[in-house]
Amino acid sequence: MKIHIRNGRVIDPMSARDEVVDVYVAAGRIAAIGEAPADFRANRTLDATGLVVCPGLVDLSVRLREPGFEYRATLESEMLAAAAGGITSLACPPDTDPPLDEPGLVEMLKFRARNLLGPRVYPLGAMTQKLECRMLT
Amino acid sequence: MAELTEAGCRAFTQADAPMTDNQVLLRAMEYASTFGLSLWLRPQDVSLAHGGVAHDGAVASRLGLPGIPALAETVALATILQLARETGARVHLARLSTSEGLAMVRAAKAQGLAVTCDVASPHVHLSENDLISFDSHLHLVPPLRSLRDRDAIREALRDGTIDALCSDHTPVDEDVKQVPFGESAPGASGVELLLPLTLKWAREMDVPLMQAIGLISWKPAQILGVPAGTLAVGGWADLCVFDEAAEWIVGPRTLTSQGNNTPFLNHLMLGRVHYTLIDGHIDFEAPHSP
Repeated sequence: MKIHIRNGRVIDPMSARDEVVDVYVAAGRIAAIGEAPADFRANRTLDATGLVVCPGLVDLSVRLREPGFEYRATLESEMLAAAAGGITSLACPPDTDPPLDEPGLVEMLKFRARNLLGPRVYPLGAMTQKLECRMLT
Repeated sequence: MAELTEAGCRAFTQADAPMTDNQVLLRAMEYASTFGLSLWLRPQDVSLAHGGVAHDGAVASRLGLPGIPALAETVALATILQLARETGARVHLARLSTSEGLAMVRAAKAQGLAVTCDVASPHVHLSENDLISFDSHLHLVPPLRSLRDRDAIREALRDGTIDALCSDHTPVDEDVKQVPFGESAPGASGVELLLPLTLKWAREMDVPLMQAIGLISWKPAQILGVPAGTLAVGGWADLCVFDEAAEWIVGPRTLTSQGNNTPFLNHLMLGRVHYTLIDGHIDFEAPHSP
């Protein structure tokens, strides 16, 4: 998928860039900022005139309610909600039920998240077993 | 922690579970220091906070709500900072809420201690004064504190003491919110409000958009240790395209989250996302986009 984001105000705090310029995306990467790469043919052009184009947001605390609290919200709905908020990477705390205190649980959550639309999910590990503050994990 | 690191955990935390044993905390820091792991800790002394649901101040007294004193944060923070100095562990302080706590972090950073910290976005705008409504959507962890604390948060965001803003997104059913304040489940839905609440702070404090976006992009990415939060040729195509002037009203019809539990229900927000690209794919496209 090749995407051309046209005429947006590109703000990238890390590189101190703030200018109206085009962004070209291909194969999951930023292919160019400014001039189109040679032979670039966009599958989709987004008109960003009057809009801000910035890095996807990174949220350090998002409870996805899985495992254990699916009745409160589902992984699917909250991943979509995060994407609707502009978030592309998130850390989720381990206070799930059961807590994320063993590798199998972390791998399951990552696997489930990978198969859904939405941000990259980075589960935080429980510092202690069952979060009971007795034995380190 | 070694096995969890192999499984992909980038940091370790007790989240909101109580830290009841400083010897366990010391051992965790020694271990983290030895193996170069990162600990994310929310400072709250368990006994000082016991039973509390709101900031221990004039408003909680008037409403008859059991309080959590600012001391619950600063006492635990002093312990964490001292252990971090001793062990050299990499510590990120999560969800700070008090003026005194922020002053301690500012001083620790000035002394060269490699700590970082974050604050949840509702705490940038709300205070204990809002509790007058008894709205259980204002029951948050840590509690909304005094106006002085809120103003200290706003200033510490500007001067860089606070490294990142997060949503602390906690979707909760209405049936556990439609009960008296003290009995309600704490937490607020927030992923869709992180951007507009950050923009609101920047407008009100006259902070450049560039600095505001940094608090929710490259700075938290560095804390998490992932190559995200920046636009670099050859880098991940994770982008957000938004209209900073778009107005919308927070409510069940405008939120995607199943959690409509937010203290900003029916508030007017400025700033709305049009497109979100993740890994070069359009994962979100607003119905109102051109």
